[in-house]
Amino acid sequence: MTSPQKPTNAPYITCREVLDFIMAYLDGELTPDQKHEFERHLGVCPSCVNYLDSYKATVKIGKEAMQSLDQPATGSVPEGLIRAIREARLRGGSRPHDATS
Amino acid sequence: MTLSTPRNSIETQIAAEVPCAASDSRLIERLRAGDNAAFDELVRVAGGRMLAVARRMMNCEEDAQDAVQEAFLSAFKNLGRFDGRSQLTTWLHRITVNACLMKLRSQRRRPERAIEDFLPTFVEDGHQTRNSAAWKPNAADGIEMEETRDLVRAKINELPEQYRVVLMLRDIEELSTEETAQALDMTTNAVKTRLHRARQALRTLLDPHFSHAEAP
Repeated sequence: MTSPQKPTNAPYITCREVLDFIMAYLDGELTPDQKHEFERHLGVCPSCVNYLDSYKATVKIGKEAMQSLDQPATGSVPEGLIRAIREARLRGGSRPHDATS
Repeated sequence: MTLSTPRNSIETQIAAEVPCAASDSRLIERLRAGDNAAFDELVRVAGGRMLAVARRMMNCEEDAQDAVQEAFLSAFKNLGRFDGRSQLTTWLHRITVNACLMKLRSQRRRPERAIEDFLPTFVEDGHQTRNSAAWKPNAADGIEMEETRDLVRAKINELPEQYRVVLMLRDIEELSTEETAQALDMTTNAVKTRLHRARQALRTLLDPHFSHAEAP
């Protein structure tokens, strides 16, 4: 991406550049000129707008799907694992045996 | 996998985030005094959350429990280094992540596709080869259904391992770029590049399920 502010009739940056810089754009890491060029492209390219929206949705969906695996903070540790950890500690060893036993 | 041994143990580096709660301090005192009941108490109180982290990272119950066991043993061994300037749960979370990474490093890699197979492609003038269609409105809302969550998890697990790990650490476990770089012995720029590609690849894998367009 070019840094200097371009006149409005300057060529648009490409879809490739937009897709390469999406994360930097979302993280606020683009310079003002880069951000301007990024958004100028979005103004004329529905495909890149769709890509940006689906990229943001991907991050949200991925986080929610994985974090839904969270267990309550207490009361969810298998007794076999508690016992295995206790025994390993008392042995003074660091190598786990079958923690699922 | 290109995961390598961290240069410094995470146990010694999580030091100054959120002050340790008073209840944490009392438990730490008992642990340092060798109170057996305190060790069990710590496992019962913190183990559930640690197991959830390990399940996300390892995707196999036996490996997840092994990693949690390793994490607790590492925590017990390094109790002297816990200075109370961070929360006990934060300290244990990082130790669990580290234990999972060590376990992943020791495992044989499964066959996987190249990341390039999942990245967007372009024609010579820089336009996308295939226009991106809009996703269904409120696509993210569908994630409330267990079936959809299973699908998304399966797609995350299809990512090449070195990309999946970065996505897990940054987007799911919410480590910072710097923490992720340290855990994986990578530069911050490499973490950013890998995270962006991982997100793009996951988007490609989810696109047929969430897009308005017909699957290719």
